[in-house]
Amino acid sequence: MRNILLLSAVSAALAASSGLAPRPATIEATVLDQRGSPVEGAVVFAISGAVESPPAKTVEMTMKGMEFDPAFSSVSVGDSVSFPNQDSTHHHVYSFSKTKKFDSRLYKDGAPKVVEFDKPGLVTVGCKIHDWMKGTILVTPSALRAVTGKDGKAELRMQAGPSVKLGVYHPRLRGKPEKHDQEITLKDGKGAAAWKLPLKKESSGGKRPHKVYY
Amino acid sequence: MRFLPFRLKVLGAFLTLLTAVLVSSLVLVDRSQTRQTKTEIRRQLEVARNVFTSLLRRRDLELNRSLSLLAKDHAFKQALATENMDTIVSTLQSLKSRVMADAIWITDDEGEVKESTLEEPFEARLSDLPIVESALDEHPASAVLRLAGVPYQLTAVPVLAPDVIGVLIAGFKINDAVALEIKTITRSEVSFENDGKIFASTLSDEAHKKALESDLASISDTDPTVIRIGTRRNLVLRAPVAQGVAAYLERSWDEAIEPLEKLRRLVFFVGLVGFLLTALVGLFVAGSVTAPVAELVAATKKLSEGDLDTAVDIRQNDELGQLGKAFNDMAGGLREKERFRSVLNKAVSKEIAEELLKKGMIELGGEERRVTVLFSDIRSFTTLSENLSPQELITQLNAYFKRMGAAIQRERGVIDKYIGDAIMALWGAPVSAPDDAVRAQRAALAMFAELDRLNDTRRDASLPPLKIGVGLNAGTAVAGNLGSESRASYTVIGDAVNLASRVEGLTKHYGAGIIVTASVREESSGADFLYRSLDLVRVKGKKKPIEVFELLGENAPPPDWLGDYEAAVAAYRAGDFTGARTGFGALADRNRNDPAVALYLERLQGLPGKADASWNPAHTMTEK
Ligand SMILES: [Cu+2]
Repeated sequence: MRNILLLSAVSAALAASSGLAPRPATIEATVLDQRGSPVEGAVVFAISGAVESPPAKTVEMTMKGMEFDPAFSSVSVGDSVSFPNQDSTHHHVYSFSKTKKFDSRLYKDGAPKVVEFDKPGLVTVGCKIHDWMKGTILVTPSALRAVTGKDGKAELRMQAGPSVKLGVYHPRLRGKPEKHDQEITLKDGKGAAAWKLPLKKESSGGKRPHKVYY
Repeated sequence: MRFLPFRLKVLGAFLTLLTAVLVSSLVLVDRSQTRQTKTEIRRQLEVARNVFTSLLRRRDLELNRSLSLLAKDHAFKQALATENMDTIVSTLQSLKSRVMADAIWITDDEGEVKESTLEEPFEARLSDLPIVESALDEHPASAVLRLAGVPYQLTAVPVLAPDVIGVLIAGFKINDAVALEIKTITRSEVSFENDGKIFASTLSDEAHKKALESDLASISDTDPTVIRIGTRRNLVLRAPVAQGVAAYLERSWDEAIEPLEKLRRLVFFVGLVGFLLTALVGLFVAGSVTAPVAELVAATKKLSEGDLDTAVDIRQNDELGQLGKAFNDMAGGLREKERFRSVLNKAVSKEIAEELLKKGMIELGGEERRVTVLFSDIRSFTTLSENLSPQELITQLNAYFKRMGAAIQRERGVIDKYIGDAIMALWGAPVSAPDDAVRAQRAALAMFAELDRLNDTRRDASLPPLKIGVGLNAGTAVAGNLGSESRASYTVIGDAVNLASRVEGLTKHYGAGIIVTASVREESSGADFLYRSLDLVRVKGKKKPIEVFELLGENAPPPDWLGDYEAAVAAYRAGDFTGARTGFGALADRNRNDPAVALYLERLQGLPGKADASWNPAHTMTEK
């Protein structure tokens, strides 16, 4: 993560040095699903080519009713997520994700587990006790991100160079999110990005069926 | 159509019916039994299939449970996440021995195999398997799939942390052991097919396997199919397992059908016995009907051949008995009737016939009777018939016979027969009357009256008149039925009859219409007939001369010449030829057309005036 930060700093410096100083830019993002319907709740974020350095903050992902709440959260590199336990049972938060591995040990009351995310990427959080508990944390390189509305549109405003690399994520996204990264060229401070994302069906919850092919 | 005895028909009908009943019941029993057996086998095979699928499911469940337990183990997850491969391999090995799986694999979060318990890994990419895809999608899945050509029952379980970080796959080979396990439970033979090849089976017989293999395509999933292994037959049901993989469950049809075969043989045997019994009873029953019928048929045949003495002896107290009695009655009636038939066949009038029958006056025995016989003949009939077509001849003859017959019957005469144009009629047989001779002569006179009328009509039709001669004789003759049994005819025979015929033959010679013999004249002494003496004549075949008279009429005044004529005849007979010559000469002058007078004058020519002592006035007829 530090490397990426460094890279972005370098690219920003390069942009400045080459006389292409970051300028205000607006990117219109449109996210559709595989069938062309607008996707709500997709996170569109800048990976590079943008300048943004907000202060680090801590976001809560509460454990309540033996579920993570919210089950999905997006943070910036350097941000932290705390997992307060509001249940009467113990929880044991862990992650085997390459982005961030951690293990909270069993806890109930007292200070919640707080994890700082120092690399961009996806982190899947689970509970050792409750297999079904699943939380997803999207760690974006910067705070430059926006969430699509009902119309599947989001607007990203930033100080950016001539082009910006954008990423997209949705909790129901099928496959690796990196595949959907896009390099957007800005013209007169405006750009447009569009995605057609393969989404899983909205699970109705409940038990996962066992498929038998005979 | 060919004659078929009633007995055979009855028997045939009986046996046909019985056979139909037997065959149809046999067929019905057979069909229902076969169907039942088939249903039973199908049920058993379906049970076997259910056992098989439930076995697969149970094994799947066990695998799934074991795999899920391991997949949920946090330490395992951690080992997988940290790629601690030694730990993972040992874990897989211990799981393998615990669940007795044939192989266990672990993949990464993209389905690529990381480790397996196999010594030599497959070339197949497990990540392409639908169950692995499903597991990668967080859904455990099971399938029977072929790996390197070997069908496996596979279960894939995702390792969730809580995202899919790998997939655990375990599999059982589907092999002879599986087949045997199912056989142990269901007692059905089990074979597994993969792409048309049997790869696992409880069958030990290679020929059997080959037979099954060659019939695979025809075997149904729903309806057990019969396959033949040499002479044996098995019913096979297919249980599809996966693409290209199926199980075949098999039971012996022959064994199942054996009780039916026994039943079939039993029914056949019972049927055969029934058939024979029916044939025997049928023959007996039909015989009780047909024997009397046959007797009746024979009797009827005899009857129709004219044997009226036929009778049947049917002592049965039923319709046939009644029929026999009726037959005997009929034969009796016929016999009775036949006795009179020959008489009744004579052209006697109906009234007379009935009267005769009623009074029972007819006696048909061969007996001597006093009869008067009449013969009539058409003169020069041959010349007459020469110019006629047969049709015209018959028509004219019938017109003639009709009138003559009527004249005879009016006088109660019996027309004995027609001989060509001649008529023979009788009085005195079969019944006698005191005035037989009188009536016969009256009939003869009536015939001439009828002939006059007939000739009137013939003249109108431009036909030549007919001339006839009638001869009568009275005498004793034998009356009775003559001829063969079947064609017996009542008639009279004897000299009296022959003489009557001869006398009729004289009519031409003497140019007389009616000639009667002296016996006729004597027997009609009470009546007033007018005669003239014709001659004393010795007819052919007779030594004794007879006197014949010409009948001139009845109740008529004698003509003036009759006295002279009789005197001349008497002179001739007395040998006074001169007197006779004078007498006949005078008569000839008075009546030039009298043929008798002409005949006498002719005879007298060359005779002396007086006869000598050897004079016999009897004339011998040389011509017929
Ligand atoms: Cu928990």
